[in-house]
Amino acid sequence: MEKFMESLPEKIKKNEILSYLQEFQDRFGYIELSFIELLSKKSEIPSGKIYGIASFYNQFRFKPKGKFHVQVCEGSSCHVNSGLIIIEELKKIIKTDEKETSSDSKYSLEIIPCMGACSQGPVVSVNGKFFTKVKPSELKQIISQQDEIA
Amino acid sequence: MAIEFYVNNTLQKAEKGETILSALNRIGISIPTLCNMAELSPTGACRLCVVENADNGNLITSCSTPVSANLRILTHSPEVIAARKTIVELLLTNHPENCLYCDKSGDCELQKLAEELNIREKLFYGNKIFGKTDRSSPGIVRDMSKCILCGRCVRICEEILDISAIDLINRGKNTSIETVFQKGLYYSDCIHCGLCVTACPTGAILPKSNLNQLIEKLGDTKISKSIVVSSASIADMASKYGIRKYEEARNYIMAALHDIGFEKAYTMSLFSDFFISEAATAILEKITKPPKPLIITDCPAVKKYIQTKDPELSQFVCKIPPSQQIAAKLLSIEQKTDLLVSVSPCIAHKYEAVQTQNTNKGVPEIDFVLTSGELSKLLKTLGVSLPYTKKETPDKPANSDSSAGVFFETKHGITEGIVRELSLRSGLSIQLNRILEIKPEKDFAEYEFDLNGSKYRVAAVYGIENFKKYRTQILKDNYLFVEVRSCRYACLDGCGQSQSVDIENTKRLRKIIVEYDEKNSNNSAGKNPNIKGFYRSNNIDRIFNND
Amino acid sequence: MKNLKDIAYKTLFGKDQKAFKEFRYERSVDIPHIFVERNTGSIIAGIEDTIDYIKRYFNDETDYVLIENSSLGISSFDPVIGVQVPGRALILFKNVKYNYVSTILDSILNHILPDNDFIIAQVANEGLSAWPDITELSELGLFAKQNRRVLKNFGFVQPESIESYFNFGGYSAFAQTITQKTPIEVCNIVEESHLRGRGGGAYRTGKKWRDALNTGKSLKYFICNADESDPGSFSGRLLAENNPHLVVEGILIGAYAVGARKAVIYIRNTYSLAIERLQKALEQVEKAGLCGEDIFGSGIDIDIEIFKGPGAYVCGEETALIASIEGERGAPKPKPPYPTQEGLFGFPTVVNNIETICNVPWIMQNGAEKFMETGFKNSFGTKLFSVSGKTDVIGVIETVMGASVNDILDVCILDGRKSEIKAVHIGGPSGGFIDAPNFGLNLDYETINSSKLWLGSGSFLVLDESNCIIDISKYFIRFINNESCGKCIPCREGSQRLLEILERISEKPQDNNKHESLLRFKGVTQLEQISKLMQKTSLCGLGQNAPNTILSGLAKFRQEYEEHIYERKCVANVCRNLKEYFVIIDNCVGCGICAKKCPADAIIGSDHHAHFIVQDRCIKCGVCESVCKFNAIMVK
Ligand SMILES: Cc1cc2nc3c(=O)[nH]c(=O)nc-3n(C[C@H](O)[C@H](O)[C@H](O)COP(=O)(O)O)c2cc1C
Ligand code: SF4
Ligand code: SF4
Ligand code: FES
Repeated sequence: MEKFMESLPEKIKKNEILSYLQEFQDRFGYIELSFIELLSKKSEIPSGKIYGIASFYNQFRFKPKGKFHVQVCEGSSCHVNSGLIIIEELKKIIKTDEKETSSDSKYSLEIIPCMGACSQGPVVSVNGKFFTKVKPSELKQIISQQDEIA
Repeated sequence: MAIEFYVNNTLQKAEKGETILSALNRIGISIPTLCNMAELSPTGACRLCVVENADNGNLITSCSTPVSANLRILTHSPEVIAARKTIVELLLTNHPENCLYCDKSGDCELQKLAEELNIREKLFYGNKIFGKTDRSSPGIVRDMSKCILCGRCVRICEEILDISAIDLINRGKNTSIETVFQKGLYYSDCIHCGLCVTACPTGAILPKSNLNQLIEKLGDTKISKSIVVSSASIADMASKYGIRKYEEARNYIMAALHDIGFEKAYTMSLFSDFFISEAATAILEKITKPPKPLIITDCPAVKKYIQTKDPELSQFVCKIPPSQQIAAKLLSIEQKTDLLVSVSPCIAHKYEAVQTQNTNKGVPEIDFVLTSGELSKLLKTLGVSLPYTKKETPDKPANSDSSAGVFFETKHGITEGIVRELSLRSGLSIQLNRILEIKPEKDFAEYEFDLNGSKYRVAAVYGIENFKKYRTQILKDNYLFVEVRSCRYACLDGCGQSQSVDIENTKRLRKIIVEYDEKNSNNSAGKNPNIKGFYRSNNIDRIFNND
Repeated sequence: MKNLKDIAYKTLFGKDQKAFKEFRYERSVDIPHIFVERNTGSIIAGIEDTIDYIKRYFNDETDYVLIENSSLGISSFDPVIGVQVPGRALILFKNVKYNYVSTILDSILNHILPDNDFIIAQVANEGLSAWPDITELSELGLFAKQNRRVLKNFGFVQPESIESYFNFGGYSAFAQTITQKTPIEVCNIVEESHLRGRGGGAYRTGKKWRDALNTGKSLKYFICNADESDPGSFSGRLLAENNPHLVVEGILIGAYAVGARKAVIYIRNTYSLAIERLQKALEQVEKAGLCGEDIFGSGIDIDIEIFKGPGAYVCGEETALIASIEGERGAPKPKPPYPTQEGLFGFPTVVNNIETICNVPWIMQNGAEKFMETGFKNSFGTKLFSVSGKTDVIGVIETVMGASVNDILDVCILDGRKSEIKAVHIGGPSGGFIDAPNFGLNLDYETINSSKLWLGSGSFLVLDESNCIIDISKYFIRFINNESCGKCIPCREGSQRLLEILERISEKPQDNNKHESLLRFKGVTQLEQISKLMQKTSLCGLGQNAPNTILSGLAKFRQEYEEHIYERKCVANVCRNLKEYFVIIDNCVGCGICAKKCPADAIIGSDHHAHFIVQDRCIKCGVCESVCKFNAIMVK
C-alpha cells in the first residue's frame, strides 16, 4: 500500500481523483483515510470534500472487505423472483449490512444493481463464485460451504 | 433594466441575467427560500422558491432561473402555495418534533416557514431521520437529526473558506452532512469560525453550551470563582437591553456577576491591553530587523486556519498568546481561583480554551468559555435582568483599563491599539481614530503612519476568504504588521452573540464602543496604570518573547 | 498479421472488402469450429466451465478452433455455443452447462443431432449441407418477429476482433463520412432521419448535434452515455460487450459531426467485461489509424477515453454525468445552461445514449430515408427492449419503433401463455405499468408521453398473477429512495414518504390501532399528493418521473390497492408481511417437522411439546403451514 501511495504523481487534478480512488479500491478493496488525506494534499482539495465525493458512489467502501465478500443482485428480474427475501436473509445470515463488514471481519456485503444475468436470478456470489436461481433455503448452505472450502 | 416580464399580471422590469428571485425581492415580493443564501451559488435544492409559469403551469425555481423576456409568473397561485406547503410538510415529517427543547426555537427558519404557510396540523407520518450528533468540537454541536440538507453550511465552508471540513456524504435517503470519515469536527480541518452556525436555518448546527455545568458549579460554595467578560459581549448586552453607555452596561454586569456567585469579575480589556503592549514590544524589536510582515491576531480561527491550511505562514505569526490565555496566566499569578470563566462573542474561544487544556497540561486554564448568548441566558436563568439594581466596577487589576483595550474587539482594534501604543512610546502625541475613518464595511484596509521620522505601512484584513485573497499582497507589500481576523466585523459579529449578527446591529455595537473610546483619556495600553504597575513591580518590560 | 493500418485502409477504401472472409460463418471449415458466446450473463450461467470442458474434450488431440463470439442477446439461452463441423451448417445450442458438453459434442461431431432441448437453430449457407428438421435462425419466431437492425450482426461478429467487424462492413460508414461529408452534412442527415435519443428524453439527435456544432467553440466534448443502471435494462451492456466496435464507430461519427476532439465513454465500473472489450476495441482502432490524430489524413483528431462510472443511477442524467467526470458528486444541476452550451469543464458537450449512437453508423450507411421506413407516427427506426420477468425469453430484443406491447409479448412468450400476463412495467424506475387491456398500446414516443409513461432505456418487465403491483411499486420507489442524489427535498423526502406509505399498505402494523388504519386509508390520497409534488417540483428527471409507477399503478390496479388496504390481503401472495404465522398450541403435537423445514430457523420447541414461531425470524414462506399434518399452524 505504501508503495502504491508513493507511486502517485506530485500533483493530482480534480477530475483524476475518482480514478485514483478506483485504483486504490481495486487493489486494496476499500478506501483508507490516509489515502484520502494523501490525495487531498496532492490535489489541494480538502479531505472532507473528497470523502463527500467518494461516499456518493456505490463503488467505494470505507471498511476492508471481509474474508468472504458476498455480492447479491437487486435487479428487477431478481426481485420478481423473490430477490428481496434473499437480500434480507443474507443480511441476517452474515450479520452485515450493505457496504459494511461483519464485526468479525468475516463477511462483507455488496448489493449490485444488476449483475447481468437476468435469466438466472436471484444471483448471489461469494468471492467471485456465482450461485444462480438461489432459494432462501439454500443461502445458509452456500455461505457455510464457502466457509468450509476456505 | 433591460427585460420586461410580468409578475402576477403586472408588468415589471429586470436586468439581464438577474434571477427571478432577486428581481422579485427588489420589487418587494417576498418568496420563501431555504437553500438560497445571498453570497453562495444557487443549487436549487429546496424547491421552496418555486413560482408558476403562467403560460404553461410549470413550477420553476426562482432562485436559479434568470428572468427571460415576457415571462409571466404567478408568485402565490394556489398551485404554488400547495407545492410549498407540501415541501415543508415533508420536511416536518422527519424532523424531530422537539422545538420545546431546541436552542434555535424562535429563531428557526423552518419553524417560521411552517407558521407562514399556516401548517397547523401534522399531515404525513413517517420515520424520523436517524441523525448522529457530533459533539466532538468544544464550540459547535451538530445534531444531524435536525438537518434539512439545504447545504448552506457545506457551501459556506467550501465557497467562502475553501476548507470543506464538512460536506454532503452518501446519497439518497442516506445523505447527510459529515466530516471526513465521520470523525467529528474536532478532528477535521474545521477552524471553528462559526460560519456554518450562522448559515444553518435550523437547530442542526448550534454553539455548544456549557451553561448547565456552570450553573451546577456556581452552587458549590467551596470553590472560588472568577469570570472575565470581553468588551464585545458587554456591548452586545448593552444593545440587547437598551443600555446606551458601555461603562454603564459593564458595571451592571459586574455587579450582577458578583451577586450570582462570582467572587471576582473582570473585563477582558485589561488583558487586551497586555496583548497590545506585548505586541508593540515585539514590533519595536522587529523594526530593527529586515522587514517581514508580522501577522498579529487574537483570533483562534485564524490561527487554526494557518496551522492546517497554510502552514507556510506560521513563521510570520506573532507568538504572543491571545488575550484569553494572557488572562488565564496573569490571573493565576495575581489571584488564585478555582474556577475561571471567560465570556466571549465567539465559539472559537471555546475551542481555544480546550485546545490549550489539551496541549499544555498543567498550565493555568480557562474552565468554561461562555458565549454572550449564554451569558444572557445565565442571567435570565438566575433571575437577573439588566439594567441591574446596582453597579460595581471590575475587580482589581481590571479596575482600570484603557479604551484601546476595549476598542480592541472591534474592526481595526488591534491595529489602532498598537499604533497608539507605538506613538505613545516614541513620545508622539496620539492621533486618535485615524483608522476609524476607514469604512467599517471594508474587508481589507491599509494605513500608513510616521514613527521617529520613518513611514510604516500596516494592513488589516477580515474574513478568511479575504485573507486568502490578499495573501500575496500581505507577504509582498512590506507591511510592518498585519491584523487578521476571521469574522467580517471582528469580534462584534461573532456567532456567539445573543442577537443575530446583521449589519445594523453590528453598527450599534460599534457605536457603543467608539463613544467610550472617544471620551476616555486612557486611550492607549501604556496609559493603563495597572499595566505600567505590573511591569514596574515585576521589574520586566515584557512577559512573552516572540521567538 | 499484417499492419492493421494497411488492412483498414484496404478494407475501407480498396476493393478488398471481403478480405477477411474467414471470420464469417459462411465459410466452410475443415476442422470443427466451436463458437462460444462469452459475456457477463453467460459467465454467470457458467460458460467458463463450459469452455473449460470443451478444451478438455478436445484435449489437444483433435484439431479444432475455439472462437469467442458475440451474444444473440437472449440471456435465457445462456450458455450458448455454436458448432460447425466440416461441410455442415453452423448449429447453435443453448443452456450448455459444462456437464452437457461431452454429450453434445459426441453426437454433433459425428453428425448426429443431440437432444432437441439444446438446439436453438441452424445458420445454413450455400455449399453447406443443412441439418434436417432444424429451423433456420432467421426463421425462428423469436428472431423472425424482431427487426434486428442494431443487433443485426449480434451472434456473429466477434467482439474482440476489429477484423471481424470490418468483415461485416464495419467502419465503412465512418470512412465514408469522414472523407465525403462535412460535419454539418452529417448533422443534417441525422436530423432528417428523425433519430431521437434512446436514453429517455427522446430529443432529436441531429438537432442536438447541430446546436453543439453551431456554438463555434473550438473545444467540444462528445460523451457516450453507457451508464445504464436502471434495474431491468441491460441493452447497453449487450451493445458494449458484444459489439464494442459498433459503439466506437458511432462515437467517431458523432464526434466528427459535432466537431469534438475528445470523446468519453461513460460506463459503469461494474461492467468490467464491457470495459475490457471497449478498451481492446480502442487499442485496435488506434492501431488501425481510425482514431487519434489526423485520421486518414483528414486533419481530424478524435480521442476516445473510457470513464469508469463509480456507480450511481442518477449519473445517467447528463448534468450529473458531467459532474461525475469532473470529479464531483454526481448531483444534477439546474438547466439551463444545457450541456450543448456549457458542459464538461465548461465546454459544449453532446451527451448521447449508447443505443442512439449505435444507430448512427446504420443511418450513415443506408441514409435517412431508409431509416424512416420503419416506425410509427413521429418515432422512427427500431428500439431495443430488455425483456425480463415472467416470460419464456429473457434478453434483449429489437423491434420496430412503435411496436405495441402485444407485438413484444408475441416475440418473447412462446406458448400462448400470454393470457396469464397481468401487466407490463416499462421504463424502469421512471416508467409505469401497462395493464392487459391496454396491451395494444403502441410504444412510440408520442403515445408513451400521452399515456404519462416513459420508455427510458427500454426495460420491459413482464408480470403475471404471481406478482403484486404494490410490491413492484415499492421496489422501484425504494430504488429511487436509494438512488436519488439527495439534493432536492421533493425527491429525497417524497420518495421516503411514498415508500413508507406503501409499506404501511403492504405490511402488518406493529400495533393495530385506529390511528394506523386511518393512516393507511389516507395513504392513497397522500400518494397522489406527493406524486404530484415530485412531478412538478423535482430538479431532475429522476424525481419528476419517479411517481409514474405509483400513478399508473393507482390508475390501473386500484382494486389491488384496495384489497391491500381494506381487506389486508395480497392476492399474488407476495406481500408476506401482511401475514403472521402462529402455532395453535392445542393442535400442536410437537412432531417438529415444521422446525426442520423452516428455512429461517424461526420455529423452536422441544420434542412432543408445542412449538413456537419467532416472529422476528419468520420470513413468511408458509412452509410450516404446508408441512404440518395437524392443522396446527394458523395464519393471521
Ligand atoms: C435519472 C435519469 C437517469 C438517466 N439515465 C440514463 C442512462 O442510464 N442512460 C442514458 O443514456 N440516458 C440516461 N438519462 C438521460 C440522459 O440525461 C440524457 O438525456 C441522455 O443520455 C441523452 O442521450 P440521448 O439523447 O441519446 O437519449 C437519464 C436521465 C435521468 C433524468
Ligand atoms: S446542517 Fe443546517 S445548514 Fe447544514 S445542510 Fe443541514 S440544515 Fe442546512
Ligand atoms: S430529483 Fe432527485 S435525483 Fe434529481 S436532483 Fe432532485 S434529489 Fe437529485
Ligand atoms: S431557494 Fe430556490 S431551490 Fe431553494
